[in-house]
Amino acid sequence: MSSLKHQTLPLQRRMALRMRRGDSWVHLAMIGLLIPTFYPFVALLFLSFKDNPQFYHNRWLLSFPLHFGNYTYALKTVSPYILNSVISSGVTVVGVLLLASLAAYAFSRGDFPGKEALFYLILSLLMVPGILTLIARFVLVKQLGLLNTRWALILPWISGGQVFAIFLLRSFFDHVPEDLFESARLDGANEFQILLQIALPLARPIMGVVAILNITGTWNDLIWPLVTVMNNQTLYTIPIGLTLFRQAFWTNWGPLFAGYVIVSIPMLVFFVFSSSLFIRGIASGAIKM
Amino acid sequence: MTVIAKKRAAIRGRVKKRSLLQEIWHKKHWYLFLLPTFVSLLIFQYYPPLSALYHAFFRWDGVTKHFVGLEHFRYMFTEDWRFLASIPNVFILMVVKTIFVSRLFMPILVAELIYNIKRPRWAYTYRLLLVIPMVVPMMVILYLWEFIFEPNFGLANSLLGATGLEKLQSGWFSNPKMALTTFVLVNFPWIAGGGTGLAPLIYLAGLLGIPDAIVDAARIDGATGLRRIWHVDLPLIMGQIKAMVVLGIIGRLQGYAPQLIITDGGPGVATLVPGLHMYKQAFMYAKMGYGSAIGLVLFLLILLLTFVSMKYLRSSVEY
Repeated sequence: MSSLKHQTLPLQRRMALRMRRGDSWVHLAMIGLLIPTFYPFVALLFLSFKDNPQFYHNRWLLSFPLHFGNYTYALKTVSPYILNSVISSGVTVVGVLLLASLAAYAFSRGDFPGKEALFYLILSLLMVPGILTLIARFVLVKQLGLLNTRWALILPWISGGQVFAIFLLRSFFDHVPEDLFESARLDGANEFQILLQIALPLARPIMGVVAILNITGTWNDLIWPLVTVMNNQTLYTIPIGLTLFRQAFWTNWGPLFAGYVIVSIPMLVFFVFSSSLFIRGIASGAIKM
Repeated sequence: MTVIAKKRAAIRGRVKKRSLLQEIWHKKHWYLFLLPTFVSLLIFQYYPPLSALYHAFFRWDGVTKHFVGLEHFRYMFTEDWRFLASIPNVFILMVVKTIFVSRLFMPILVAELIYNIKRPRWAYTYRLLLVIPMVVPMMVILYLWEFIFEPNFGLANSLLGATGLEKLQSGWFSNPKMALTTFVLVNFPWIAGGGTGLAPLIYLAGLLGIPDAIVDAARIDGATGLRRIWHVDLPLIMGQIKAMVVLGIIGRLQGYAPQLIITDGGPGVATLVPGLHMYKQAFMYAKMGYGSAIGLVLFLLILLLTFVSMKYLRSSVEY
C-alpha cells in the first residue's frame, strides 16, 4: 500500500518527502558528534555552581541550590589575569595593525628597488618555527633588560604578528582598483594620506581578520609569557595565571570551575562581536596551498 | 614635425634614467613605510634564529659560552635517552592524532556531512556550532580534559563505572602505558576546539567551492556517496587538505603545552615530547646551547616532513 500511495502523489510532494528522509541520517550523525563535543563544556558550567558536597554526590547534572558565590570568589583571583591579557594582547594588536598596514601598503602600491626581494625576505620568516627561536629570543629579551616587564610580551608579539598580517593585508590591497588611488594622487594627496584616508577604511574587514587571528594567538600563548614574565606575578596573563589558579584551587571544585568559565568569557564576547567577519574571512576559500 | 611630436622628443631628451641610488632616494618614502616593520623583524625575528644556529655549537647558559662543535648533536643521538624516547612519542601523537584523526578523517567526515545537508539554515547552524568551542581558551580546554581523565573524580572513570565498564577504568594520565593514548583521546570527538575546529570549516569551504557543473556531472555519471567523496570531492579539496595537514605537522612537532601542563612529560618519559625536553634543558638546567641544538634538529625535521607531505599529498585534479 505504501509505495502505491507515494506514486499517486504529485511530483513536488514526492521530491519533498525524498529530501527530508535523506537528510535525517546526516542530522543524526551531526548531533551524535556535537553532543560529546559540547557536553564537557556544559558539565563545566554545571560543576561551577556546585559546592564540594554536591560535587562528590553527582558530577553530571546540575545540583540545586546554585552557588553563585563560587563565581565571586574565583573572580577575585582571576580578574588580574584577564586584565593583563586584555592589555597585552590589545596593545599588541594595535601595534601589529599599525606596522603591518604601513608595510603592506608599501608592498602593494609602492614601486621601489628591491620591493619583491624584501617581500620574500619577510615571507621566508614563515619557515622559521617558534621552537628554533624561543631560547635565543629569551636571551635577547634578557639582554635588553626587558625581562619581567610588559614589553617583553608586547614587542616580540608585535614582531611575530607582522609576517602573516603583511601577507594578508598586501593581498587585500593588491585587489583594490588602482583608480581609487589615482584620483587621490591627482588631487595632490601624498602616499601617507592615501593610505590613511582611502586604503585603511577599505581594509577594515581584512584588518578585522588579522586582529582576530592575532588576538587569539597572543591570548592563548602560554610558553612565551611563562618564560619571560615568570617572576612578576602582577603581569601574569590568563594562561600562566590559570596554572597558579589551578594549583591553588584544586579540590575546591566549584570555584575552580567557575574560574575556568570566567576566564572563557572575554573571548566569547569578542567572538560574538566579530563572528561575521571571521566566518566571512575563512569561507572565502583562500586558505590552501 | 607636429607640435605634439616635438614636445615628445623634447621630453624624451630631458629625462635621464636614474641610477640605482638616485632611484632609492627618490622613492625613500616607501622605505620609511617599511622601516618600523623591518626594525622589529630584525631584532626579534631575524636575529634569534641566527643566534640559535650559532649557539647550537656552544655550551651556553645565556651569559658565557664555550665552543663544543658537534658535541651536542652527538650526545643528543647517542646518550640522551630522554630525547630518544621523546621522538617516538611525538611521532605517535603526530601520525595518529594530528594527521589521521584531526586533519583527515574527522574533518572530512564533518565537512561532508554539512555539505550534504539540503536546507541551508541547518548547515549554517552546524557551522556556527563548530566555531563556538574555538572561543574557549586552550588552557581551559586542557584543564577541562585533565579533569575528565582524573582517575578518582573525573568524568571518564565515573562514566565507565556508571555504565558497568569498570574494566576500562584507568589511571589515564598517571598510568605510564595509557598516558600517551590519553593525550590522543583528549578533545574527543575531535571536531572542534582550537586548531582542530578550523579544519572542517576549511574543508567545507573547499567543498562549497566545487563548481556545480562538476557536481552535476558526477551525479549523472552515477558517482554517489562514498565513491563521489573519494573520486570527486577529495581530489578537488586536496589543496586545503595539504595546507591543514602540513600546518598540523608543524604545530604538533613543536608543541608541548599540553604535556607541560598536564603531565610534565611523565610518568617517567611516557609523554615527553622533544619540545618539552628542549624547554626543560634550556630553562630548568640552563643548558641553552644544548636546547638550541635540539631546536635546530626539530627545525630540520619540520622542514623534512613538510617537504614530504607536500610531495605525497598530490592529486592530479588540482582545483
